[in-house]
Amino acid sequence: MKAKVRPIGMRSFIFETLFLVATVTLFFAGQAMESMRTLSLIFASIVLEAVPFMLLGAVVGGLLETFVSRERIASLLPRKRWKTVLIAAGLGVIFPVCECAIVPIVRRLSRKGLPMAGAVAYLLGGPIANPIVAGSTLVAYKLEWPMMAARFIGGYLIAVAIGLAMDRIFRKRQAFVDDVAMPGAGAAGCACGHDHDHQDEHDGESGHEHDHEHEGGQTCACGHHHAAPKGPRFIDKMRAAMLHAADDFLGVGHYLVIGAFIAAIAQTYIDRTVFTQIFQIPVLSILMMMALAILLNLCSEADAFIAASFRGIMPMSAQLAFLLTGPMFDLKLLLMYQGLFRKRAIAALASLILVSAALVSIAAHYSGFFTKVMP
Amino acid sequence: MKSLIAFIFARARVIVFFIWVYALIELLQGGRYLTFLRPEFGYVLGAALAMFLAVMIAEMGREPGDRLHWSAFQRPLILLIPLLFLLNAQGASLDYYTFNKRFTGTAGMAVNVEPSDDSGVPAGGRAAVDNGQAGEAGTVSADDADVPSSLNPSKTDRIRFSRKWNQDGTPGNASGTPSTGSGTDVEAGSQPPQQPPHEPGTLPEDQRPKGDNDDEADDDGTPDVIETALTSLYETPKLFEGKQVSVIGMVDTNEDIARQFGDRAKVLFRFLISCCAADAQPIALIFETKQSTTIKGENVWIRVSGKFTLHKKDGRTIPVIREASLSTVPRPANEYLY
Repeated sequence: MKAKVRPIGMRSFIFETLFLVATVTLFFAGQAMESMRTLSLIFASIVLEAVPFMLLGAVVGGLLETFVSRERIASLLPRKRWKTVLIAAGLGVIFPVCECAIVPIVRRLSRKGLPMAGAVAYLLGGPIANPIVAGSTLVAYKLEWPMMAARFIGGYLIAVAIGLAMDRIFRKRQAFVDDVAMPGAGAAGCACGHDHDHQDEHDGESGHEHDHEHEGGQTCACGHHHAAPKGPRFIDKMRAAMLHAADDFLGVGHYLVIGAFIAAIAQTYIDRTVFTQIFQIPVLSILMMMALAILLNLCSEADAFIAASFRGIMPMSAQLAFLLTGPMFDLKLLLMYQGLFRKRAIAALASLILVSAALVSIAAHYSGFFTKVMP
Repeated sequence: MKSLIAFIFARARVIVFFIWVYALIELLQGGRYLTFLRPEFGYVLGAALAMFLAVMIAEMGREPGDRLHWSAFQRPLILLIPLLFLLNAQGASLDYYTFNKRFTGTAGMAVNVEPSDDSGVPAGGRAAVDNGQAGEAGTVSADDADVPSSLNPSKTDRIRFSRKWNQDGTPGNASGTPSTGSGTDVEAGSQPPQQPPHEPGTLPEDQRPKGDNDDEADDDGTPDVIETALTSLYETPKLFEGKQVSVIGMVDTNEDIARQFGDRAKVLFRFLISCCAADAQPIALIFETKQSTTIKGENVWIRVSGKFTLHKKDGRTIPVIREASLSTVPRPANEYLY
């Protein structure tokens, strides 16, 4: 099994080099700044909080890759795509994961044959519609259920709607990046979607060859020889699973770091009072809270406590907007999605998320949901 | 040299995983991660350590790639940037800088004192009020250094008040070292048991409010001062009203508060975190003091003791500690409230 050198585009290469140079320069040049300690502390905190969960996601993804065959997944999926979407959006109830862990898991599931619509639904619904997040929201709101219910149901519905919408939009085009894309699922390039379940020789429905050369020198994302011996020992499978985990972790880890750094800058320098002066205008405060969610990059298991701290100064609907937006879309997710989707798909996904989170919150506001059920 | 560079490029992933393993071991030692995360995250970091080890061992058995390129090195390198900044943040804490960015004014300090109240949200961070800049701070001085403590002197003696501290110039004094129990009275359960108990004599049983979330009880003294935490004051303000209380935190001044409560009003604050330092919310309490002392600065922790009152203004009830006396205390081992 060889370490693969995944060729990266010139633009992201320059961007990442710039990031390295900028952060190292800031580190050494900014030591005298008053804000430096706060910035360091917040940056390190966000990364330390997220890395274990992302690593867990990568390990679970690696185990899925090695121990669960594509046939198994296919047999679990309903025939109808909309049924898949309905189930995938609520999968968080059984497999609760936060938004950092879900990206590597969805990467693996997609390569195992989970349709894009279902992948999107789980990606968006999993971090909101799950018992851990529901519990933390309930606690943050002092056991008053309406916010928890609105968040859970709103998150689920948005995940279903966007899953179906993305399916429509990208029926003909490829939404995934090359190393996630499935054979036959679209016109695009390297679709290394073969089964890594080394024991059975199966034929993908597209007749995809197992030891093909990828055009343009592009390495296959899985990076190992597929002529693996039959019936490998457990320890070998574990090793393969851990190597997949390493690939996944390093495949999205740098996006997390860059996103966390931008978030730390926002957290350090933005004055919170900016967000508290426009609370009379519901739509504007909803938009402001969505912007705040994108900038703060909080974990979906902790963000309810921040949202609840805006009680009394922001309408409940704006707090709901914050709670719906954050787990689906923020700066670090924007970057992490690049390990999963193509640019065009990210643009579509982001606009759909923002529009639907705003619409759900506005609907909650003008239907009087919170004022009716809450004293 | 060339072979060394080739080795680093070829083994960049293993090296990065190794450095992370090392960093996690260091963080877990002596609870250093508490600067960044809440205590329960120790288990999460432990699990991450195990996973990093597994991944690193698997990675060590992998044959290095044949085409070596900067990009094979660059992305793993980015994963080390947070550890560089982590070095910077060791021993640092969120201080008045963060407080000023996150504090949203006095409206968020209001408590609900209705009888059926299920407690005010302990958030110093919610308000539609303009946040004044606390720029000019540094030394906060008042005209008069006299402490008109309403306390009975015989009681004051037992509570190492700041007057004494200021006159002696020694932090340690007759009644022993100042309590470092940051969370002495913080909610039980979230507080690891390593916190030292209160000093004897500061916590009279009969004056401790019932329903307070105290976890320790060493009550061998006569009624005087209730040593408590900022969160408890906001959770059950009625129980503390009119009583002598003593709380620790960091101090700042705030124009908005000075305008509303007079020049002697300052803010005592700590941070409440739910997961990590990024979600820290300030919990702030106004106190009035005549005492002249340098109280603001990086990592300066003080104890404020005085009468806890509920100040009614513009239809809001804002807690204020009046006639407060101050003393510096060491930074608590666990500086956040959870």
